[in-house]
Amino acid sequence: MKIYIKLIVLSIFFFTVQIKAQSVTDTLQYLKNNFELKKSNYIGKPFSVLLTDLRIQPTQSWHITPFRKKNSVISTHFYFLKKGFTYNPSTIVLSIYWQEEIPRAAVEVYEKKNGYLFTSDERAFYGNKIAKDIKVYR
Amino acid sequence: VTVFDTGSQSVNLLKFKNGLKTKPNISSRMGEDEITCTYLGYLHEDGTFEPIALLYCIGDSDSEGTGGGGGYGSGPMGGGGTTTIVSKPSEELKNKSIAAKNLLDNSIVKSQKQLLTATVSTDANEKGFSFGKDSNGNYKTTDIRIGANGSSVGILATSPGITLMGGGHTHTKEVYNAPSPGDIYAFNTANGANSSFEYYYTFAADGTAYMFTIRDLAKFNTFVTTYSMAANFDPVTQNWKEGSGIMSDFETVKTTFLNQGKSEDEAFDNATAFVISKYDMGIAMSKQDANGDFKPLFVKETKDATDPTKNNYEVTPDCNL
Repeated sequence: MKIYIKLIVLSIFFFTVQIKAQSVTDTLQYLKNNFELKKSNYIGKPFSVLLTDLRIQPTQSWHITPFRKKNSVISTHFYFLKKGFTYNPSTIVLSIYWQEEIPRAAVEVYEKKNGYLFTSDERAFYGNKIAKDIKVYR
Repeated sequence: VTVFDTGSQSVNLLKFKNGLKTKPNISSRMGEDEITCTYLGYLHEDGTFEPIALLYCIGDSDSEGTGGGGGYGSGPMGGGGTTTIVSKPSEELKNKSIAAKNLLDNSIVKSQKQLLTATVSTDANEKGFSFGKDSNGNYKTTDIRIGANGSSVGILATSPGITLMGGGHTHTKEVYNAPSPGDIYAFNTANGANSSFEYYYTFAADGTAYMFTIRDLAKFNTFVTTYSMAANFDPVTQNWKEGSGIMSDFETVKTTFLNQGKSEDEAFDNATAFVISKYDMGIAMSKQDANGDFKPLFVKETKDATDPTKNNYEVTPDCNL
């Protein structure tokens, strides 16, 4: 009986590890398949809809401003980096373009407070913003 | 005389002044623009070579190659040796930075520049002008051109009766201080139309001034061919194209400096300097200091000592172009 229990526990452990490993290695594909290719499900809707459907949550958010309009945020980059890591050329990017430009000063309040981490503040702030376009890339 | 010691992988500058030999520290990039020179000198027992006279050089460089005086004497072992002279882009840039300042200090150019920037802190549109010399060698400027609807202003590369040497434009308060990626391509286009056009200035709304100059024209042309504007420039954001390699590197450096608490403008400055170096664009970006001098801006990339998967970035005075 003990052997059966051990086997079941081990199976659950390996199954869990496998799922976790898959979700990490396939983050790019997961985001592309479910959000970039199915962007019509999310465009024109509050970003909270997409956040609810996301199985993995962003860990960082960085505003993007056009070179010639530095006080207007037109999109935000969401990263899924581990703690202590910063953006690098291999980082997977979920880029959300906003239907209406957001004043940079409004975004910076949270970026300065939370150091670009995606916290409940950012979730609430961006959650009611309407998505105009979605891009996913590495 | 710059001596490259292939044994110790070191570069020294030997100057003979009033009979004394000095060895100031310099930084230089090895392996570029090299020429090989043969010297007469002393080969010491510890393997070091002390040149006393330059015999001849082979190769292509614009670094100085004059030899010191002769001398025969009491060295441990007399003999010859072959060393490599490396050109010093930092020295070249220093000279071009001085020239860039002098051009702006010319009374004709200065007066037009003052007119250009008089209202830059509140202007809604960019302005630009170009300058050069007429057939008599007198400095002349073009009229000031004004952009429309907040878009960038075109800088003239040619003008009847003037051989244009450079041009400047403003960035309004809505635009980042640093020259944009579009400015890099515009500079190349201007130089392509007129090879005398070698200085490209950007005057920001907060008074900061920048200067692009050409370090290596062949590399500049190779860059715009290899990384075409169509494939790497986003006309909507007027920045590097999202997802492009240059944008990834730009973002990496930008986010690093923002994480350090630097301003957006400073982060953009450093990111621009870094991609200019990393993509070997053949140009250099200098920033004007409080004395009016243009100082080249360099950003160094190093592996993190504790985590080799991470890179660190820092502003450095050392030329890395």
